[in-house]
Amino acid sequence: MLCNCTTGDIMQNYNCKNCGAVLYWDVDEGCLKCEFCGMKYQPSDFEDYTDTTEEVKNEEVEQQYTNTEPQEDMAVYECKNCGGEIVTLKTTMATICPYCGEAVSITSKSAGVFRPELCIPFKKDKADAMRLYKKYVKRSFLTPKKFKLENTLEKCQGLFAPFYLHTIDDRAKHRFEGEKTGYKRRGDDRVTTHRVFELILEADGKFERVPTDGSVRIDDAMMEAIEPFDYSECKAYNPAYMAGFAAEQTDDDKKSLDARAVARVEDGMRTKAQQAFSGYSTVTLKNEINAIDNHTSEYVMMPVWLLNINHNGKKYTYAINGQSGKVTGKLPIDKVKLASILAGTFVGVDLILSLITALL
Amino acid sequence: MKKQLLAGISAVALLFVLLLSAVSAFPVTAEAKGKTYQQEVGKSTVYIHDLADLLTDAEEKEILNSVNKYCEKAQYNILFLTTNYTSGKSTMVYSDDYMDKLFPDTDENIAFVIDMDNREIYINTMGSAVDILSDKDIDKALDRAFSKITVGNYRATMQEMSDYCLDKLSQTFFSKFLKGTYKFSHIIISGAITAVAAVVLLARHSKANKPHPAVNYVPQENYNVKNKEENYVRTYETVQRGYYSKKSSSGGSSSRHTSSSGRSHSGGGRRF
Repeated sequence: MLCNCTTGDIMQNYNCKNCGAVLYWDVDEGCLKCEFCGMKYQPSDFEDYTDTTEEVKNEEVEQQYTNTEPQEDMAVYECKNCGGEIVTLKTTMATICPYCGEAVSITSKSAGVFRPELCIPFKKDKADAMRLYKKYVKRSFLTPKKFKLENTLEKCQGLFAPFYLHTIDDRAKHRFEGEKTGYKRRGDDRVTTHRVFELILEADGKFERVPTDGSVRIDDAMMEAIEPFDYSECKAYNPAYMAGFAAEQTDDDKKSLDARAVARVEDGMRTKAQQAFSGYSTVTLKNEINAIDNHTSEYVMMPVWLLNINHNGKKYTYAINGQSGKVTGKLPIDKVKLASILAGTFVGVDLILSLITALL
Repeated sequence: MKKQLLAGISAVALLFVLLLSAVSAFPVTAEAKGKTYQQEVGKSTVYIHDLADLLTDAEEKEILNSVNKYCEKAQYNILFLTTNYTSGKSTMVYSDDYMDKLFPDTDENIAFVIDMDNREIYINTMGSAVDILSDKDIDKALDRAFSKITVGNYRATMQEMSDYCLDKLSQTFFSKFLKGTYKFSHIIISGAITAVAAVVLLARHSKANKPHPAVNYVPQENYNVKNKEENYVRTYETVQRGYYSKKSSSGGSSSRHTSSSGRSHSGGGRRF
C-alpha cells in the first residue's frame, strides 16, 4: 500500500504472498496469477481497501459527481516498485507503471460514491484482442497498411470502462399511419391503390440493465456498438479484478446518463410498437407518449480493449468487447490504393473487351 | 427386200414413238431446269437451287464466298432458291412447302427466294431465326435487295438479303453490343464493372457495427400490449400513364405462320 502524499489517495498493489512478485489478472484462469511461481489468488484473498477507505475530499467528490465538464486535471503518483512517477488522470482507478509494468490500483478512486457495485472480468486477453482486431481490419482492402502493423496493435490497452446499467419501466402509447398498396392495370396505365390506416398501440415494458457509458472520453455510440455484455458473469466489485488493466471512474453527468438511458428505452418501445403491425408497406410515426417509472441504475465496470491510431492528422479509435470479442471502429480509406484498384479494373476490363471484340 | 425395209422403218418408227412417249411422261416445267447443289460451309450447309437459272456458276461461287464468314459462327441450313413456276402458289406457301420438303428433320433453316412467277423476293425463316429476325429486320433486308432486283441483278439481290440476315443470325447479344450498337460500348461496360467494383469495395469497408438496439433489453415476458387498434381512414390512387405500353413496344414482332405440313415459319416478301 502507498499513500500518495500529494493528493492523499490510497494506492494498492497486489503482490504474491509466496514470492512477492506483482500479480496480474489472468484472463484464461479467471484469477490473479503469479507469473514467477504460478500461485493463484482470488480477489477475496486480498483486503478490499475501497470498503474501508474514507471518502476522500468530499467536496471534490461531489463536484465530480455533478460536474458536466470533463475532468482534465492530472495527478502524480509514485510507483512503490520502482519509484517512477506515474502521471495519470485524476479519474484513474487503476493503471500500469510505464517504467516497470507494476499494476497499480488507486483504491481511493473507487471508494464511497465512486465505488462500483459490480464488474465483469476480462475474458479476452491482449493476444485475443489483437487477433480479433486483425480479423476486423483484414476484411477491407482499402485500409492503410499502418493499421495492420504489429507495433501499432501493441498499443492496444485493456480498460475497465465505467457504465451505468439502468432498469426502467415505460408505459407508452404510439400512433402511426400505415399504408397498404395494391396494383391493377387500367388500359396501358398502372394504377396503385393506397389504403391508409390509423394504427394505435398502448403497451408496458420493463427494460432491464440498459447500459450507458459513464466516461466523457469514450464515445457513447462506440460503446453501444460493442454491446451486449453477458450480465450473468457480473461479479461483486473488487479492485483486484483491475490488476494489470487500466480503469477510470465515471466523470459524466449522471443526469445526462439517465436521460440517455430513457432515450434508448423510448426508442426500444417505438421499435416494439412498429413491429406489432404487419402487412403494411409503410408505417410512419405520428405521435408518441411515454411515462417513465421506477428508474434505477447500477454502477458497473465493463471490460473493453481500446486502440487509438493517429493517421494523417486524425485519431481513429477501435473498441473490442473484453468479454465477447465484438469489434467496432471506423476504418479509413487509403485513397491512393482505391484509385489504383479502380483504374486497374477499368483498364483491365477494357483490354479484355478489346481482345474479345477482335476475336469475334 | 421391200418387206425387210418396211419392217426396219416400222421398228425405228416404233422405237422413236416409244422414246417420245417416255420423255413426254415427265412434264417439262421450269422446275426441272436449273442447277441444284449443296455445300458445307463452316458450321452451316448452303443450298443453291437455281431452278429459274438466274445465276451463273461464277455468281453462285460469289454467293458462297459471301456467306462464308457468317457460316463460321451461325449453324443453319441456308437455301438460295430461284423459281419461275410455283404451281399457282404464293411465294410464301411455295417457299414453306419447298423448305419443309428439303429439310424434313431440321428446324434451323433460312431461305432467300427470287420468285419470277409471282414477281416477288422473299425471306423465309424457321427455328431460332424466327425469334432473332423480326419483321423490321426482314424489311430492312428486303429494302436493300429491292434496289438490286429492280435492275435485274439477281446475284446482288441474293447477297443483299443474305448479308443482313446472316450477320444478325451469327451475332450473339454480347458481340452485337460490342461491335456496333453503341460507339462507346467498351467504355460503358468497363465503367459499369468498375463502378460495381467500387461499390463492393466501399460497402465491405464501411460495414461497421451498428449500435445495439435497446429493444433487445426488454424480454418478451416484460412487454405487455394493453390496446391495439387498426382503423381504416381512406383510399387514394396514383397512376403511371403508359406503363404497360412501354413494355410491349420493346423489341420487334415477327410474321409467324404455320405451313401446310404444320411447321412454324416466318418471313416477309416484296413484289417487284
